[in-house]
Amino acid sequence: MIAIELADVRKTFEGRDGRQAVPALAEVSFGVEEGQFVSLVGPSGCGKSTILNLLSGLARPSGGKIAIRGQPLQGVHPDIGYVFQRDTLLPWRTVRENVCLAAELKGVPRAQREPEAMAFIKKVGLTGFEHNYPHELSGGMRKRAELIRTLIKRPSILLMDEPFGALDAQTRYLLQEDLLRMWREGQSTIVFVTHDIGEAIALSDRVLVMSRRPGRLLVDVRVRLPRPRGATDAQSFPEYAEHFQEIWGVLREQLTAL
Amino acid sequence: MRVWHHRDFDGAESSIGPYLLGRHPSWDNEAMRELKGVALFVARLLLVGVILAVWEAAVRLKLVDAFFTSRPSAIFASFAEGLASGELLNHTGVTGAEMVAGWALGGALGIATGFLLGKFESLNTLVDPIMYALNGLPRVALAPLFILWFGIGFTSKVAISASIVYFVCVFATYGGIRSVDHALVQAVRVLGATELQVNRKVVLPSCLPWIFSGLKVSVGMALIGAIVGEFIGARSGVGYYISHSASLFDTAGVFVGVFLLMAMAVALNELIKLAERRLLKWRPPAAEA
Repeated sequence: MIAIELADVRKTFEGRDGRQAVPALAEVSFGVEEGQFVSLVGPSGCGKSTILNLLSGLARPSGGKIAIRGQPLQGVHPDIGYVFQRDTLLPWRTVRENVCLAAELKGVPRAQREPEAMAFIKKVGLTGFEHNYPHELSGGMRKRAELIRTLIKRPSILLMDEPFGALDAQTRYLLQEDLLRMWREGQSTIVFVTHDIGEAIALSDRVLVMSRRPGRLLVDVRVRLPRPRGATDAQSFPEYAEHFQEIWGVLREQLTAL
Repeated sequence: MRVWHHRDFDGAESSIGPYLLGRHPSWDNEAMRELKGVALFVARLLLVGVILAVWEAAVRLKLVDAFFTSRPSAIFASFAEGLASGELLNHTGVTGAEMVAGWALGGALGIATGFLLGKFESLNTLVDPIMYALNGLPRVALAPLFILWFGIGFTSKVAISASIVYFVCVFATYGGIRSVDHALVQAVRVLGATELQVNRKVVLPSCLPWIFSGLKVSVGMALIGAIVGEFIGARSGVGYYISHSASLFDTAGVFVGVFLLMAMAVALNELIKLAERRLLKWRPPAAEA
């Protein structure tokens, strides 16, 4: 079953105050199957994040069609979660209050939403920090809190925009492990944007490589690494290096050709 | 004021300190800081004491004329007398009520207006120059008009106060709304928030520090508004007491009024700081100062 389908999706940012309109995406088409983990890589500014913004329903495409399980996407979809690149925990709420946010917005009574929030907090090792404010946590802890704030909604589709980009390498491995574990448990479909080729290969079933702006799809690499695998296992397979070379070859051309 | 700050800071530190710093703040440090705080307080008291002593001595030694400067002991005597008769308490109550009412009214209207202007850009474009022009108008100059409209009682003072506070709060709230982090709004929207929920859960809380700074700045202004009104036309209030004492050449009385105003301003500031600490306790200590 196809979870997400994009057909000739275009996006142009209108130039305000007499500035020129910027074409961000040029006719992108691809489908993502239910339960698949797909990564988008490409030069910066190529429209990777734009694709996620369109899929989240926060932005509308300038042309083309987006369908979620066959239904055209209109506005924010209740079954889609979005983890942003930047910290978006509400700074005036504690970890627990942040994690409870989705349930609170839905009107779930406090007594019902608390136990589940605590369970999720425990799952990512944040027990003991429920009552801390975001500024009191490390970057990795904030990202974990943010991850479960979205996952507690149990979205069947999860969009992630370079979620671990700002973390140090070791913390990133730990969070990748967390993510893979929760993905296996939750059976969700993930679209993951990253600029890290290794991360894309290690985590994904497919890696989509994009061109420079305006973004187009260049290649669709099917990752031939066995599952289940951990975030750091991937590098020990010979296929890893092959995939890396293939993707880097395409990207390099995009980055150097002017 | 010092004590509050320390307690607040220690509270934050002891909850996360063991994890982040790997140790608990030692008692020695805490006791040391406490001691320093007390020493500072004593030093300040001494400083004020010295100034008052020099003042008193200068008058007693006839270096300055008591008619113009009065002297601390006379001021204190006048204060004690006014306090005993209940007169001072009455004036303080009147001014306090005018000021609080003006502050609350101007603040509430100002915050509401700022919110509307921040949310509806076209409305802001329309009224922006008018707001700035009105704010530039010295409200003191309008005071006689307010007295004419609302009489020499309570209402005119409230109106003057509110008219000053209003604009400060409009601009502060508007600034707060403009500075709301768009990423937070988007994140909460994706989590399923309606427009109303976005306003309640994101926009309003992230404006609170701005609104607070507006309210904080305008406390003093509310007091000025009330006093100006009382100077121009009133039958009670600290401003009336000052101008009445001056007309009787009672310098000590004038000083009693002035010090009373000072005490009111300080007390209000402390109250607001307290409220701010409670409501904005989520902010990192560095940003709090």
